[in-house]
Amino acid sequence: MSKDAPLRDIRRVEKKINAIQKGEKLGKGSEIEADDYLVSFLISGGPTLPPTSRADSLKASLLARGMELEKGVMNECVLTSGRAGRVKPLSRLSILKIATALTLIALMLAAIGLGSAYAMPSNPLYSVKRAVESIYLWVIPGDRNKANAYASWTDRRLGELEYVSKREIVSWYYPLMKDIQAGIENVYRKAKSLGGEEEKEFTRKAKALTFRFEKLLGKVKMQMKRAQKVEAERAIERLRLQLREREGASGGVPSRQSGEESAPTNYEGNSNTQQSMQQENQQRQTQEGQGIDTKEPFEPTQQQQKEQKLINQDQQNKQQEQQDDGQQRHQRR
Amino acid sequence: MISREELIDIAKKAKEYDPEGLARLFDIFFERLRRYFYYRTGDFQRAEDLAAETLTEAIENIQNFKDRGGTIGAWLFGIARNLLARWLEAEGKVEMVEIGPTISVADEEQPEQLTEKGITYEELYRALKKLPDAQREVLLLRVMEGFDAKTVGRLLGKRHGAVRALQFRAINSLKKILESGGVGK
Repeated sequence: MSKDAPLRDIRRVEKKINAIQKGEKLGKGSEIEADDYLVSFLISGGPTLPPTSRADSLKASLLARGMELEKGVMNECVLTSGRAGRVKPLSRLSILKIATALTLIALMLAAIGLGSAYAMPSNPLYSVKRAVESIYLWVIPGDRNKANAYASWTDRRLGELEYVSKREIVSWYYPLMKDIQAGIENVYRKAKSLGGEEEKEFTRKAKALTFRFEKLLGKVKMQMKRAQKVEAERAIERLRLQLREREGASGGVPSRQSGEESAPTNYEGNSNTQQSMQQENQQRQTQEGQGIDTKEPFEPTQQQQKEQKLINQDQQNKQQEQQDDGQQRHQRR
Repeated sequence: MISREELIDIAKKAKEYDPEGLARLFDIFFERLRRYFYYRTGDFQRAEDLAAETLTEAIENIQNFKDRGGTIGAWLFGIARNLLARWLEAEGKVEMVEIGPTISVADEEQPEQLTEKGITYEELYRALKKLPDAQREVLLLRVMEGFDAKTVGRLLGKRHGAVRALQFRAINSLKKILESGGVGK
């Protein structure tokens, strides 16, 4: 028979087999095809085989085996009745399937983790990045490692603030500002708990981060809401205060302008901070050479002082109104 | 023809090692398995042994069987095929053994033409033996045992389209062999 038998004939035979199996009778006369009898004959089981004399004994032995197995199951039930439930051992195939599934999940998580490392705010993977950071912080042992991680993450946050400020994604200013503030404070705190040379080292890092933060905040502050702006200024004040305390406590952190240890200390991921500090040093040196006043970037200007006064007045007015309301209610009663 | 519901019920009872269920399982499948093994081995004694062994192995592993709606027959024939493969391997892949005594078919229910010709089971065995292995399996499982093309495809590891093509070729080849009378020893 040729291999490429017409599809029509294949279907015809299939139909015929199905029809005969369903009990339909063959057609009459010319409708009956030559192979119909053969198909019908085969479907009926073909020639009858001679009867077997052993059938009864084989059946009896099968039933006996069944009873043995039933007893075995019963015994197993009695033996395991004290347990909460019998755990069926896993087959090789099941183990292989589970192992494959776990490997795939691990690979997927690793891929997401790696992919999220470069995610910026407003990216869907950004929350994954932050979660990974939190887990890392939770897992790593020792104050030094933690301080390094805080410094590293804060440096990242500063980069992110720079990123969102370039793209004017205003909604991210405030959350990032809070994160950076918390990060720098954590570096100070860890530096304090470390003591000695390490305290100096991490105070220097925190100082570098504070300066970079101040500079960046100067750019983004104008786009913040008034209350947020006030909070930003307070954050800077708090950080400055902490810096002064630390510098006083550790016998003074080497000056950035002294030239000897002007570069911030090395820690992972602070290349941006190093660059910005070097640029800042250069700018300051040139400004000093030109006789320009080199104030701290957050020295309040007249404009800012006016704004602060307005905010204070607002708050006083609100308090006054609340007091008046209270008095009126009291009088009505 | 056994209904799907009945097969489900038998499988359920067999799982509980219920004697009635096991007896029913034996009654339905022993003869079918014996026939299948006979047309594969050509040995009645061996066919009986293998059929009994298939049923014993089945009830020993019945707890692993997951019924997908009356599929116990396909499961049993899967076990049968494995046993046969083991047996063929042990025998050095020699399938031909002594043929039993010739009995002609004079069954009233069988089609006239064939009964006239008087095809015996040994002639049919010889004719089937001349077919390629895949075609013979398809004829036995699909046509004689009545499994659908999908089930046979699953048992043989082939697509159901391939099973249909195989059954078409097998029927044509078998018809030619029987017509030419080329079923002699």
